[in-house]
Amino acid sequence: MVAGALGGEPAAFAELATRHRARVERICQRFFSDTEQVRDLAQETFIHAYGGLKGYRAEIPFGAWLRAIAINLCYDELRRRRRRPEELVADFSAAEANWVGLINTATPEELVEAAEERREAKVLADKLLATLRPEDRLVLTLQNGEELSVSEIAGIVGWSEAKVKIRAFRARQALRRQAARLVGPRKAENE
Amino acid sequence: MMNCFETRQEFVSFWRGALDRERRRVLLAHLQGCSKCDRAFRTFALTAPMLHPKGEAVAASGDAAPQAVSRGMPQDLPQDLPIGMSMSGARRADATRAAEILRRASVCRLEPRRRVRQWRELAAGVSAVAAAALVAYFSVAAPPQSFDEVVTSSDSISETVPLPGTDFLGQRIPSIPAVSSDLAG
Ligand SMILES: [Zn+2]
Repeated sequence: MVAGALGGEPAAFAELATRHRARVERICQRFFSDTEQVRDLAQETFIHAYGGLKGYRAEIPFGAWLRAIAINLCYDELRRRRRRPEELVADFSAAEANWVGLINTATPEELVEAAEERREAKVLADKLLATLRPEDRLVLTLQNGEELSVSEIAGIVGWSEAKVKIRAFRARQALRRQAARLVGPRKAENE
Repeated sequence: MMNCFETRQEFVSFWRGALDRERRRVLLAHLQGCSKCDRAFRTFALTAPMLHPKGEAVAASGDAAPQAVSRGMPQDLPQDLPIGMSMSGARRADATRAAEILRRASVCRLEPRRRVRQWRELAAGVSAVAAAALVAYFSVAAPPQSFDEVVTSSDSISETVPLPGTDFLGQRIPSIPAVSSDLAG
């Protein structure tokens, strides 16, 4: 099918796009929650892929090649938005505010249990991630969301493996700093 | 008895329910008596749904040190993905054709995007005119450094200022508005 697309068969490319659409959208969803944005980026991924078919090398799985294009476009979009780095999450929903309340009052065991049931725990963690610099978001998303290895990330974004490791380490530190701002001091020890 | 370092090393296992009863008891006792580790755990709990989703192998924890990040996933990517080649090949005619194929395959809906692009292009045009006006004004009325301050505070213009991490792929993705203007036709 890839060969067909390479040979200029529109039907083959359409079939490839249909087959890979969900996966490409899932990658974009890791970076953006807005449905329109996700669709736009998926669309751009396929348009870029089509334009670059001549440069595609068959030894790379087509899905991996598409994924790299999608990641590039998402990263570009993150940088374009240029949100002020490490600003605190301000827009909590009631459920998220409630989760922050629990974080500060529940016992560790209760927290472990509650996190499992509460979707807002993940949503809030994603919001914290969204406050980081684009390169920090990129590396944490690829590592923890897409579960890519350091060498895979290095290959996709064109960084050295050392840079990926250092960036990931700093990104985790930044994420923790952001989270720590939501955690107050424990109530009086003797309470 | 666990010290603070050991306690924090156990957070991921505790989070995933992978601690045996005795270690769990010791960890909880430490958290009860150590306000610093208690706070560290609460901070951990905020980020864990993203960094340590339950169901993953405990060994995947990357919190401890940079060396721990490799997950040993299948290596389906070569070290040097030829993305630059793929991106630079995205020409207008190709993009138009791709859009047509995708539309027929119902993979993408192109209409709304077209409108968004048109608005973006209009906004970019307005910004360019405003920038030109500012250049003209400040070149007469103010020293050059004042102009720099003004332009770097503008979103539309500051896009041309190199951002951190521009070594990314050693190249930029080709101008996407050019692609979309074809779609509009
Ligand atoms: Zn401690």
